[in-house]
Amino acid sequence: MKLLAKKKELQNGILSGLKSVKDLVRAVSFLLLVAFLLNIWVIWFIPKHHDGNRMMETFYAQPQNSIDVLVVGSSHTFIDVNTGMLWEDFGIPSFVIGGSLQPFWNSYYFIREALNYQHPRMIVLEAFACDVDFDYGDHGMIINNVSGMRMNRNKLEAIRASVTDVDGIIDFSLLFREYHNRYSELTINDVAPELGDPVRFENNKGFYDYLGTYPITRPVCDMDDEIVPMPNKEEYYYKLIIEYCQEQGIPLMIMVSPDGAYNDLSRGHYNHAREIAEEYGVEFVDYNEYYDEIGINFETDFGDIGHLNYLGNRKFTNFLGEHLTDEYDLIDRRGDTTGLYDSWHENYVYIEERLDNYLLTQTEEVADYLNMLNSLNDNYEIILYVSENRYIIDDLRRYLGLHSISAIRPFDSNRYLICGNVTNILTQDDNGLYYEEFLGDHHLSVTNEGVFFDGTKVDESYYTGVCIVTVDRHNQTVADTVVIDESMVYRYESEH
Amino acid sequence: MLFNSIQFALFFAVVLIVFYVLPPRVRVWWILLASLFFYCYKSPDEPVGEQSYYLFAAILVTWITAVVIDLIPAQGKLKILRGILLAEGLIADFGMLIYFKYTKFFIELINPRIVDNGGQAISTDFNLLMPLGISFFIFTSTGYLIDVYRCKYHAEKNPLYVALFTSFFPCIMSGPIERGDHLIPQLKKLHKVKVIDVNRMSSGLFLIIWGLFAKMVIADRIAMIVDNVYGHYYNYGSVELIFASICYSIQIYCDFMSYSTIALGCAKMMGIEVFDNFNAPYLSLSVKEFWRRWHISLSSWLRDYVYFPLGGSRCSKIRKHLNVLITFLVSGFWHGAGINFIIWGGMHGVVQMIDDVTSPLRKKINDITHAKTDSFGYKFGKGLLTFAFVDIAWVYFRITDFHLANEIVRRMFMRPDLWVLFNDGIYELGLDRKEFNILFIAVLVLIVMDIAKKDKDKSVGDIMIAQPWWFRWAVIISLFFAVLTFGIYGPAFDPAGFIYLNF
Repeated sequence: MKLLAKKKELQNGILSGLKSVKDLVRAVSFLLLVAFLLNIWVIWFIPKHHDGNRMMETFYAQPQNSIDVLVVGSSHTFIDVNTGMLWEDFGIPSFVIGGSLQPFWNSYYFIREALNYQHPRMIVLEAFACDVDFDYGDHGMIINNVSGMRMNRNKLEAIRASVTDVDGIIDFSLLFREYHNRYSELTINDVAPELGDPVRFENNKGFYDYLGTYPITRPVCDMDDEIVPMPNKEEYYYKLIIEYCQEQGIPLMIMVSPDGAYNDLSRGHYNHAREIAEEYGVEFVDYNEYYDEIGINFETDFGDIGHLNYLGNRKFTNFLGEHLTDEYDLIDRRGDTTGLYDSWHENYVYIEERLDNYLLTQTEEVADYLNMLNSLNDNYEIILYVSENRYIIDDLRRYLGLHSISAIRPFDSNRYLICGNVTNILTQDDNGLYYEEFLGDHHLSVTNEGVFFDGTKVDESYYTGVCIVTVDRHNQTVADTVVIDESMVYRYESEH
Repeated sequence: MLFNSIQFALFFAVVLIVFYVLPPRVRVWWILLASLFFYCYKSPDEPVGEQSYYLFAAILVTWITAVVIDLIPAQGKLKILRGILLAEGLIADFGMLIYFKYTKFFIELINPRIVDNGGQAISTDFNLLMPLGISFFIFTSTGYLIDVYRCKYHAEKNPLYVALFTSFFPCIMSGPIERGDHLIPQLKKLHKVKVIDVNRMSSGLFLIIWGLFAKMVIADRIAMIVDNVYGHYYNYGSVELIFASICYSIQIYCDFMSYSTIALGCAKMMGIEVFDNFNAPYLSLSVKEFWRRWHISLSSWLRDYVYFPLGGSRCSKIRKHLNVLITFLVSGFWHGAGINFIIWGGMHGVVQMIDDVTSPLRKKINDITHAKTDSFGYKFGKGLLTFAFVDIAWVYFRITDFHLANEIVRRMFMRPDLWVLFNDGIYELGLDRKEFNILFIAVLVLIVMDIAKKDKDKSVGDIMIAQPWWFRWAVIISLFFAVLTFGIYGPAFDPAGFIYLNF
């Protein structure tokens, strides 16, 4: 009897143990599922600020130890320093970690974080932070400057330096409290962030070309060598950055970008920064002293009062690139065959094509427009058809003949696809589909109804003339959609 | 520390992990420590907030008084001493409550008399910082004292158990109001609680998430309509005001139910069952039933310690009605020091009296008209009438100014504007169409839960345990992400405290 009881007790024990194991497995599975879904949720909801999480996300995607020049600082860095041009013209693989109104305490932790993944040959610190007068930035500024960092000690320290209280540390550490209510503004690009942006990951080097022009007057500065101390907190972290770079044995250059809002006070602050830099034996260059050498035209080269546009940043980057190659031990990486630097070329192509697309949309003259179409490279496709079967006048036909599409004729209902020098007449299948193509994750289709990009109609056929849809295959976007007749370009305002 | 705050989430996670890591015998002391920290901690500069001393006083008075009462025989010459001791305990406990909660109210009440008699009004220009949860822990303590006095159970000798019973952190701020014979035995068995019990844990987790959903997705969202419409009542007509009053009914239910449900869930995850405070109250078919389903722990407390001692229903009809009225006036007064709360309580008392008095007449009418009293339509009509009354009574609860509440009720019926139902005016009351849709779906979920709860007569946690694991997972995860996404929280939001924390 005793033996039987013991056996039963043992059996119960084993069963209970098995149940416990089963329960444990179930609980762990549940937690793993929640963690998995939470990860997806965060990807969907996290804001995709260029100068916030997105820039750091692309930084983390860079090949390890591939960056030679790391540029850190305020919005002047990611708008003024053209990484594509530094590569294409100087062979410098560079990356910009900039953030709107980035203070030095954020720059400091960005540098610390960056050096965990890269060992640049030099660091360029942009010194606009000297000229700000706050010890704690506003909500949006803090988000821009900490949200992209991975959760680690650097991020927590950066948050701690950015806010005063425990609640603030919690808020910015658990940023979902900030962005959870984005549910009403989510788009396909949030759900699948890789869609539609070929430069999202390693091809993005942080630079953002400012397209647009804002004429300004040349800043006048009477003060010369007078020093106005920068705020104490900025000074503390400014020195920390210098000391940290020196500890790491990485040459540091401190620069001030051309700024339309430059004035006596900012000059005084920069003089203070220069004095400190010189004490440490670090080069400090205020490019506001070199407007003429750079060739800045204040009528055409600024996008807003403080930042250079696509014309200005190319002039400035050229000047900066020459200085960097002359003064620092940088290697021209353009001949590299390992593939480590391929993404910098991709970045260059993206930047240039984005500009071309912009310039195309700014053109109103028929002849200019057709000339621009002709100058586009093989990455472009041009879809063309006659709108409303109206008669096309001879002049226009002659212009269009530039692309060997003289086949186009009055009452022509065909669709043509031009890529490079090759013109194809598209034929309609049984479903009314003339053509379709996948550009990365995007879908382009030509049907009886018109031209569709990701299901959205991008052309408009109520004008009389030749409808032209220009597709940038490299940047995976519709560059422009117009209808032209003998006299002018009619532009359909598409969201693409 | 609000239940819907990150601080509480971190606090509870630490409490729970340490609870299961510690040797079982130490668990009870850990929970006591956690409870005292939860209630007393204010800031690093002032670790123990001033208000905490009143909790300590209540614990001390309760423990000593109960132990001494228990030492004195219930029969014999010394019996009177028990009564004196009980009175001392009640005076001390209720004294604190009255002092903090009602001093200003009484002064304001007597000031006009003093002035009328040529005296100088007593200044009310002082700020008595009421200890949080005082109404709840005082009712818990006094219930315990009365039970010991009535020899319902023996006094607990160990002061630490009494301290934990009074200050148990899930319940101390807003209830449920626990009883000694329900909670203390469970506290003594905490060492036997199994570490891995998936059913208990998932039930507790579900309750917490369901509570957060009710609070953060429904209550705090619907509050935007309520605050806007009541704040600008003069801009709105009948439809909007009726709609706002329905919204407030939902708000206060979700707000208070959520707190109790989170408390239930937290306690359950530590192996403790506390009273379920709500059981689908808006599905009640009479006001009497409503009070059996609304704030159950308070209703039962008032029944046991106010209504029964007054004579309950075992007395003349008039006396019985008076007892009901007094009980509801006490209930109203407990909710707040204001005439509006007394009116609100009085309304419920009077309606129950009317209900009782007219019961034979209604029965007769039903017999004559052959009313199908078991039909859905009949029950629906009764439920609707009950809800309509409760809804109007809530106006007096929400609006502290009696005349203003009257004006709002008048406008609810005298300013017809049915067209706002068809001209999208409903989306301009504080929530746009998107937010309104979210609210609508969330309230549908609430209705489904309440119907299930009423049907099964179980807590939603227990209903969930009975479901297949995949269904449980799906529901818990869906609610969790609904809270995470659609919850009203974050830096841009001023976190709304739980309404019942004010009581």
